[in-house]
Amino acid sequence: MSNKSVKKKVRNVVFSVLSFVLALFLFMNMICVFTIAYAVNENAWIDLMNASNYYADKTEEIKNKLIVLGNAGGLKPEFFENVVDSIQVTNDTRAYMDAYFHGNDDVIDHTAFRQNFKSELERYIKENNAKADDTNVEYLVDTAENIYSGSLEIPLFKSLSDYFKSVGRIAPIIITVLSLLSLVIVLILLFGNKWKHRAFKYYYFACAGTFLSLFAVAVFITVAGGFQNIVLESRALYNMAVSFGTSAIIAFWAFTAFFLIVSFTLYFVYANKRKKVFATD
Amino acid sequence: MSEHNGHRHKYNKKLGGKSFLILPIIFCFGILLIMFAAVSATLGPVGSAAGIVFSDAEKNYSTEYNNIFVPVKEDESVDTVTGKDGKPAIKADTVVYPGYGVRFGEISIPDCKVKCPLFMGDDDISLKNGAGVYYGSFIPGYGGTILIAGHNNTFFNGLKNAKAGQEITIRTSYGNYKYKISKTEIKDSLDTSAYDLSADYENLVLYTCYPFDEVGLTSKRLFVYADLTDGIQIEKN
Repeated sequence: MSNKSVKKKVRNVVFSVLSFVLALFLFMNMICVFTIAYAVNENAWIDLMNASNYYADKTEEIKNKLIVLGNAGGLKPEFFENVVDSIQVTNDTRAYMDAYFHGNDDVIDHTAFRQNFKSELERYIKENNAKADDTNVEYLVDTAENIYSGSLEIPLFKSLSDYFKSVGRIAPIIITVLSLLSLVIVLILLFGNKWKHRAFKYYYFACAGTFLSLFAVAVFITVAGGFQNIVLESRALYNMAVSFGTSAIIAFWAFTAFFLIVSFTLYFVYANKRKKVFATD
Repeated sequence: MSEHNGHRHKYNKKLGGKSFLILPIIFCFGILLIMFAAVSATLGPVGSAAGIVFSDAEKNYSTEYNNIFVPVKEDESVDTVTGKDGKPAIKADTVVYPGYGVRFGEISIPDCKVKCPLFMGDDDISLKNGAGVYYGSFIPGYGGTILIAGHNNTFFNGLKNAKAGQEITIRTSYGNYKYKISKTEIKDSLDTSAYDLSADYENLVLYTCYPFDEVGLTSKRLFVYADLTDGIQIEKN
């Protein structure tokens, strides 16, 4: 084998390895982008809550729990119509999530609820001329307040929020570093090949590899998904989790489709450039 | 012939080739292998956590309840066998034991104007729709303590008029049972001496919040005690 032929083979292997590394970086970058865009993104959570009718469902849920409390506490179901509303639930939920995503204490502010409940209760007692013992009324208010704040809590959110914060801090750095390294590889491939169409061949290898990897993961999460079987006490939260699962799967398929299109484009660019070279050959 | 930077382009006649398919597949396997190696340590704990968070079936959020109550008419006879004590007993295999949250009967106290569905378990859905048998106690006819809860502002409001000597009727799909109130007492909600779940004779304990018709939550409970006066026991194997 001639020296030139060996050199060419080595160069092919090196560029192939580089395109594999590029594929790996692109894949990791996509996972990071996906995580940042979905799991650790407060706005994505809020959008999902709006899309899945979370606040209205949660309001209804709290109201039903309070009606049961009212059965034990001498309050008619009508009483609870004015005690809890979805605007208050929306504000308190957002404040609660905001605090978590910004590393503050996990405080659910139920002051407004307590004040409103207490004033409505006083009015109810007066209007109905009902018997009431101060201690028992206070116990009722405390229990209602606990039901309200307990209902707004998202299970495991406290434990997960630490991970959210860490991932939220690290992921942009990882994305930046991976993007820069990817750019370096792209430039090496571009300037390392005298015939530019060959660079596009390696870009195609990288993007097609990324596409296939994303495709495999997308198929796996679609088949194994099972978000419908998540065990959550709250129906509102369940609806949100299912909505999250569905939109996450769709987003992953969108990333996959993007890389399929890019791969095809790169292949045609390569074929076109190659044809031009031969046409002038 | 074209020259590019002084070099002549040497080309293959065929565009593409096997490498255009094989290399991306190899890359895919390589990437998945690397990612698997990277996360393999966390797969066990994550899998265990998923096992807790996910179940085999979709959770049922319905507030509807199952109803297995088909009333036995007063003059209707049920299948009986002779029990160990020589008395007739309902054949055990003819009794459908109610699951948690299932309506299986009806309780009524005519003198107190109490008449409501009877559920197994005392969760929110049960107490919203009737009275509930505490899941750790017994069903009527089993020869133990039947502990039944109800809200004082809804179905058990009439218990404020409960007095010794009044009759309580529980109707189920396997038989009807009558009890006579022996006494009423007001006790603390945490007072476990208020009932004896290990009793080896059939007795009925109803309880609800006390006082009645008052706004607020209280730690006091009104207990109504009653003894069995009529009803066929369930066969014990």
